[in-house]
Amino acid sequence: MTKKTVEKPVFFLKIIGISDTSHELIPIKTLIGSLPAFMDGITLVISHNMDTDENRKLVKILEDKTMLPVKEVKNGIKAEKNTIYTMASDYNITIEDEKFVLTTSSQKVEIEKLKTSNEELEQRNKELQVINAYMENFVHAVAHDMRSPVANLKYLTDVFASADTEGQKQYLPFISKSIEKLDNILKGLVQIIDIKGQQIDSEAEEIEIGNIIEDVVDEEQGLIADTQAEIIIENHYPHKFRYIRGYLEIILRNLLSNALKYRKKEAPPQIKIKVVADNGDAILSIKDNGIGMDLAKNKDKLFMPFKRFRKDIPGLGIGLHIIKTLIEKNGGKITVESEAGKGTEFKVYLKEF
Amino acid sequence: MMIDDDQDTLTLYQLSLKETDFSSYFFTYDNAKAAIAYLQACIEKQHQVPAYIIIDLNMPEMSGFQFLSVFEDKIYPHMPNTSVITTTSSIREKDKEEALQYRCVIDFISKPISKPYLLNLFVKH
Repeated sequence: MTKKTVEKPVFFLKIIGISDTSHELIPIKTLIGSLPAFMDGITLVISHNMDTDENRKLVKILEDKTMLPVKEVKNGIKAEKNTIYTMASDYNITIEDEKFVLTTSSQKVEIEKLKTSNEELEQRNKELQVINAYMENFVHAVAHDMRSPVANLKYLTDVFASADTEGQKQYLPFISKSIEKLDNILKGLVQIIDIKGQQIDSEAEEIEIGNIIEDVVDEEQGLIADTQAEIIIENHYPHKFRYIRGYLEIILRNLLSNALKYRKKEAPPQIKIKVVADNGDAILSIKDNGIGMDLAKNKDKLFMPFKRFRKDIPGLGIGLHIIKTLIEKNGGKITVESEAGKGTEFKVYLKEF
Repeated sequence: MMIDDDQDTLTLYQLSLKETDFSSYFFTYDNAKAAIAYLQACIEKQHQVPAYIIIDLNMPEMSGFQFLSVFEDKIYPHMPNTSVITTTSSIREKDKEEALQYRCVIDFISKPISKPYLLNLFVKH
């Protein structure tokens, strides 16, 4: 009589930490076909014997398909989202005190449940609504802006056909211009989407605001010299500031570049960059003596994408929009004061991460 | 007369009318305010006024609608033979309804205005 060893199948225990706490035991082969099940949850792979070739292979496939880290279950483990945990033994699963308890013949392992919270859901929901509304407005603005060059291209196709070779040559630059406008809009689109997609909890560090201001001013030395601009930097921020370096660079670069671009013809630009502390937050102000603007008219459009203030001054019209997005990502704000013919001052209220 | 905030559009139309007999009758403005000032000067100095004004409804600073409001109120009474044709790159029905409400407006066209349409205006006049 031969003794048959029956291998226990490899099961997948799905623990969702956000909206639901459920554990189901599902054959892993079934689960491999349904990827989304792994997202935003914890995966526990339990097998009678993880060391068999087949089980190892199955887990490897799981790992490859989800690209999630694989960890071994140990006593007292605190579960992390989006992670695969493996465990080899006979088992019994119970829930005690907000913990999953796996009992085997030789050990007891507890996996702490992630806290679920309705608040988290509500918060996430609100964020999504804001993003949605933004996206709708944005798509509208872009579609609208693209119709103008497209209208011109339509007209060109009309007149091009009936023109002689001389005439056609004269129309060609208009074709290029329209296409370039379309291209710029698309470029701006990509830029904005990239920025919107960046995670805010990456790379926040203790930075020296003064150093970053100096770096950005150095970058613009060419234009500063050409326009004979005078840049005054007043840094009254007393210590380091926890922020994302890249964001501050983009913000400063854009505001400084605008201050230089929108200068008066008759007077060299005078730009004052000042930083003060306000209860831990930093208030960064850039004040120029340039052409200024009529805020009553422009205030609404100023921070909207693709709204160019002056068509004769180069730019995509998305800089202010981008920096407003960045500043507001962690609760900051940006304000503007301006008088036509006198100059403009942008005030950026930065919050620490 | 054509009013549009996009200088490239204006230059394009000017170029396309160059070899026609009407090119000297076609002139452009890239902002509505300047156009209003010109029209007012025409009244004061008793100059010949444009027979047709083509205006883009969507412009920064003074919009097409704002132009229509001022025009109908203050200028149209002095040049009742001048008609306004509104154009836009938008596709909103509301814009069309609103534009056609003005007495001076005789048409509403989606951009681009075709060359035959323009030539027809000149011929009619």
